[in-house]
Amino acid sequence: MGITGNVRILKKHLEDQGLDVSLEQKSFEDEINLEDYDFIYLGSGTERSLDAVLEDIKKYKEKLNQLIHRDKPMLCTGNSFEMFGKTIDEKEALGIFDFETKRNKLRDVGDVIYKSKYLEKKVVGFINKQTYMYHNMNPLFSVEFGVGENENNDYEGVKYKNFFGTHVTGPILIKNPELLQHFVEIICHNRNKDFKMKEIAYPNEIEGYELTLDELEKRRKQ
Amino acid sequence: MKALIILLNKILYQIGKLFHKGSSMPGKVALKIDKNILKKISLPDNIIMVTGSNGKTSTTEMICSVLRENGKTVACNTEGANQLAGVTTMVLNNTKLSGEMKKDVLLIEVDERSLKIILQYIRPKYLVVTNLYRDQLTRNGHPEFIYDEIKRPLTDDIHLVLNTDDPLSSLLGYQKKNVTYYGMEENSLSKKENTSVYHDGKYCPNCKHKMQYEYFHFNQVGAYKCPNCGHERKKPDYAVTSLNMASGELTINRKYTLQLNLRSVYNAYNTLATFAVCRLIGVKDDLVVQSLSNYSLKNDRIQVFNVGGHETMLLTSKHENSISYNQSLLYITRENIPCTVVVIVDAISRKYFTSDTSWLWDIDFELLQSENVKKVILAGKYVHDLNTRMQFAGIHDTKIVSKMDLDEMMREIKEHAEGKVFVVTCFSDRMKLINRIK
Repeated sequence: MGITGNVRILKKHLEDQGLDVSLEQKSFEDEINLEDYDFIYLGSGTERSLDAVLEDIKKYKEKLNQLIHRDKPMLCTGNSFEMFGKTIDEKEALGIFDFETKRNKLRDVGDVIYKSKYLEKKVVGFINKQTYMYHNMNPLFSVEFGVGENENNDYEGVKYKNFFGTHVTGPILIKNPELLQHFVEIICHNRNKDFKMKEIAYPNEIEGYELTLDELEKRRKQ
Repeated sequence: MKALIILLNKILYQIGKLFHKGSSMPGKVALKIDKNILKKISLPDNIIMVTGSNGKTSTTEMICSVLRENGKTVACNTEGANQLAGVTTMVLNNTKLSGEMKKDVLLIEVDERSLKIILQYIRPKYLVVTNLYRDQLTRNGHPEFIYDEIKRPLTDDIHLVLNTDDPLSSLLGYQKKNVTYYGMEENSLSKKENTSVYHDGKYCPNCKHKMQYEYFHFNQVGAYKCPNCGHERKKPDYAVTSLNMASGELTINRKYTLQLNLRSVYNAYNTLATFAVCRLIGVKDDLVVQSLSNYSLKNDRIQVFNVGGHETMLLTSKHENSISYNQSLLYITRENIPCTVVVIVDAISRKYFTSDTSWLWDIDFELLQSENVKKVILAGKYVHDLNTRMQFAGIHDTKIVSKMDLDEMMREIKEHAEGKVFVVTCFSDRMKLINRIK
């Protein structure tokens, strides 16, 4: 829900930095040359869609593995990053990372507040998933409010080099201006180490974020 | 004991009415005393259930009205209490102390998550599924998840009445015999491409192969075919064969022409579903046409006011439901008169907590680029999120005014609105507007 917002806003902010940006939307069964891109985004889908995509994406396993190790900026939201682990239930996944995903009968749906050591501000988001995940990888977030990776509700997501995976769905980059800025910087600096960032104000995005954080903090204290 | 529970339900219902309480409490009490009470009631043969993401309340109301107008006695939850407790209240309320429901038809609007529970106690002869769209994901997860929940408890004896144009809900009839399909043929409003922000029909919901489309009515709704498993838009038994938005004339099966009071594609679908069900129940075709012609919905989703001299129309839409919003926006652009559009997002839900505005990015706000939309007023607590979304919808900054405060929004409408005013908002927020008008 709302995931096209992520790439639309990223494109706009990169253009504001003076970059010429082209956006290509690829779907499964499409031929993709992953080398061609400065940034790769994978959004969320239903469980059945994920199963279909997983079979299709396996042909890119080696390439994805190389790119991740070579610091390619990648963001996976919703259930898409489950594909990068060893297994989803009994099914073999890409096996790039060392985690396992178990599907549940019940869904976890709701608002969350997370904290990340890579960001000063808290992250707000929405979870809509049906899995538990177990791993010893570097987590992307710690949970302040709402659900996490599994029944312990302590951590969420994975971060390895410039690979970011989280179950947060929807337009996470619109909702979290600092996280968006983080990606803008990573992408700009990945192209050119000495890239000079322009300071640009986005008041609507900041106020939208602060309002949501405020609402969620109020809810947490109830 | 049964008589006592029925009596208690009736008394509690009357007391509740005095205090303007919702109608689920008596049923809740009745179920507490005997959770199988519904199984002990002798119900009529003609039981119709209506479920789906959008349109179930309007469709239920219209079916009820047509049946009653044509001499049938109907027990129906028109008050919209569509979960087990509310349904129990309604059923017991319409039952004699002997445990017998002396009605020709029992008609129930059923919440799509509650269907599997209600089916444990009542088995319908007809089940209408209007559609399955992205709707209130905070409680619904996603449409395929809801599809599975509806499909699991179905048995072959239930006659399905399905919208053949929706690739997901129509799949309930895949390789089944006992099905009636309704749908809309290609018309002047249909498009060859999906122009919406997202496309939930891109892959077959059955086998996940790429789907082929001949045309779209809106979003993923249209004529589709999966070349792999054969899931396709079945030829409808009841079809809208022509639809004239300018005159509001709708023709069914090239034979029956009736007048739409509300000229929207949505209303056309609900009217068609009603036609199909009433024919199945055995009301004569010309009588159904007569009852449906110029039908004006009583559930007040569409309301008309005068605000500071501006003709104002409230189009109640559902937050967290992009297709519902799209239908309102399409209606506004198709009316094609100079207008101001007000969008209010203040509380996202009245039933549960969420601060999530992801769904704003699924709505085709790009439609507001339309020449006839002279001004856009954004209002409510989430005005910043609305504003950010509008920046990406290609609407000129000079056209947009943002007012977080709803009193200021009212002042803006009164003093600066251009042309007719259309207000698009949800049940959770519309009283904030109505109370300020009155």
